[in-house]
Amino acid sequence: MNDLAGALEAWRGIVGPEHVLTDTATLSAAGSATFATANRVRAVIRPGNREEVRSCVRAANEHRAPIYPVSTGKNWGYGSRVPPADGSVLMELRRLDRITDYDEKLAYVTVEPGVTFRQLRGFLRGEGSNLMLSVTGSTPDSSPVGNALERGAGSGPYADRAAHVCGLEVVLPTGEVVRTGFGRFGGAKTAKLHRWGVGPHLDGLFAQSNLGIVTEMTMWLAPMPDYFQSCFFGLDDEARLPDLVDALQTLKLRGLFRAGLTVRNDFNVLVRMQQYPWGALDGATPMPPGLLERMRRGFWRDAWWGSLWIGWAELHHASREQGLAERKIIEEALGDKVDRLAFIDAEGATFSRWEGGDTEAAAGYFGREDGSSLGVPGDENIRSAYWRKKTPVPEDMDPDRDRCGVIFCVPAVPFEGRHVRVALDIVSDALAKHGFEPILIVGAISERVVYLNVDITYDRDVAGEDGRALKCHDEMLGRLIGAGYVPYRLGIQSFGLLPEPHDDTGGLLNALKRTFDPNNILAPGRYGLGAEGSRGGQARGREQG
Amino acid sequence: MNNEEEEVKGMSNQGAMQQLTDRFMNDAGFREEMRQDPEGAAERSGYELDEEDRQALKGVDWSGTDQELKERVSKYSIRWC
Repeated sequence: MNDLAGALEAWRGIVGPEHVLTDTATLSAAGSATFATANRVRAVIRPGNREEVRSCVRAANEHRAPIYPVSTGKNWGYGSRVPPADGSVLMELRRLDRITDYDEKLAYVTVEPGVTFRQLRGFLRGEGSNLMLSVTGSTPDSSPVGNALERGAGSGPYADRAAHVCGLEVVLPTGEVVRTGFGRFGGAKTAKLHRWGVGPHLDGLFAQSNLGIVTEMTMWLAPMPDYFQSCFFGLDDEARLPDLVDALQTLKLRGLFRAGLTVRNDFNVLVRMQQYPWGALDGATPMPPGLLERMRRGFWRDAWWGSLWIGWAELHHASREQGLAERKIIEEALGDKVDRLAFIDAEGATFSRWEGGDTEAAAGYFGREDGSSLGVPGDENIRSAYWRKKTPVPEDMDPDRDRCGVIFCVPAVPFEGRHVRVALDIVSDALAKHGFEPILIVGAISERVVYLNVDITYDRDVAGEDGRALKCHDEMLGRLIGAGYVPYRLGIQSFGLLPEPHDDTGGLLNALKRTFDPNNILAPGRYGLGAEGSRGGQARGREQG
Repeated sequence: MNNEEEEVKGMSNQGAMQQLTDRFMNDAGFREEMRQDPEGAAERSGYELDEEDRQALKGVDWSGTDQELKERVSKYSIRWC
């Protein structure tokens, strides 16, 4: 039987009363996301170290009080800090903010979950490091550990973040501590250098799950390139996109494009540059693609974003000679696949192709690329959450507080033009049907798979929009899964929407959950594990529209 | 009408729009005019815009300081992940 009062008393004794919060303002903020949610947070607890986490977990078991751990809680578009089970207690790990190890030669850093991208960047800078962290497009105040555990994508050579971490320290739901890989052997010299260890590999159990609380993680860092260039390309004909995707896949499989490679549409750039053009459209939504095309082809013809699809690849090289040799290969492969192709380095832009434009003007937009922005987190992308808001973007952006509507849908798709075409058509149909702009990214996470990042962006202050957006999301997700494009990441809006496994995986996962967490106190319902009644769908708010 | 305005009149709409943008980017005085009244600034400068162009003109966010503008058009302002 749930004894919250007893749990609160125990937690106050463990972490101190100042770190157990039950005031209305805190709980209301903790229960807010960028879409409608129904679940309430009953308290917020903030342990300060691993031992306090262990004690808190033990108290949660004793009093049968479910806890939902978050690192910094900036999981915008996926539910923010809102737990998948109503009445959970939020365990914020932001006070676990130590950088506990760093090695320049072997290129790694070991951090706790409360460490932010901003903090880590400052640390590396302070050390005079020549290493870079893969950064996200989200806020600098989010957590690299949290992002890795959600298998988020980043920039740079280690864009697939979860593939470049190891040595997890995990507090189990019953309070024991395990260290993954070689970390289980005291004094193992390769605990932070090797993912697999010896014997069963456990890391995967603790990502996108609720089988433990990760209190420390080692992240590998990439060296800053000796020669860096950006490759920009633009395409104006939607029909040619599949051919371009196929050409990119061939290059990546052959060892080109070793770092970030994304292709995004014009709306995706526009929402990062400005808010919705309410004045031009007399308040009507959605924004017609024709208007954006007019803006692109007229005012922004020579800007780097002046195409229908805009691609960007970070090219990291050990020397200029290597860079120029690879540039030549890319030029030959993409020359007839795109309308615009340019390479930018410290000397400026070199144009391989620039249809219908003025390269001199374009060079002004591109500027120079000396690599100084690599590994530097920024919050510019957060502006896009305010796209449909009628109030200006504030200095201190907080999409939860400001009732920005954002829902992400992120299917994994084979890196083939024909599949990308089908998935994009599904997504675009659903968005158009429900009145949202197509805000799209195709991100190459590997040689074989791309992630489609779809933003459903709206204003939560407009009556009916919450319901309409969730309906759009559900329809889109259902059609994508039906076509075989399952999302690589879920949020509380989608935990309950995956189909039943067609094999025995569900039984296995439930058995693991019961073994690890016999009282089901850790994040019940997260990714469908340990949910009562459903697989987490109850977390969403009532649909209004 | 001065020479520059005559030249502008002879251009296709797309060319005129691009020229307007170039001037906006490079002429601080014109930037200020555009921020206050985009349609008026374009007309006073002799740019002939049709109805669709006017809608596009109203669709672009011309506001913000020069620094904000610089950040907005910079590729660094877009995080590519």
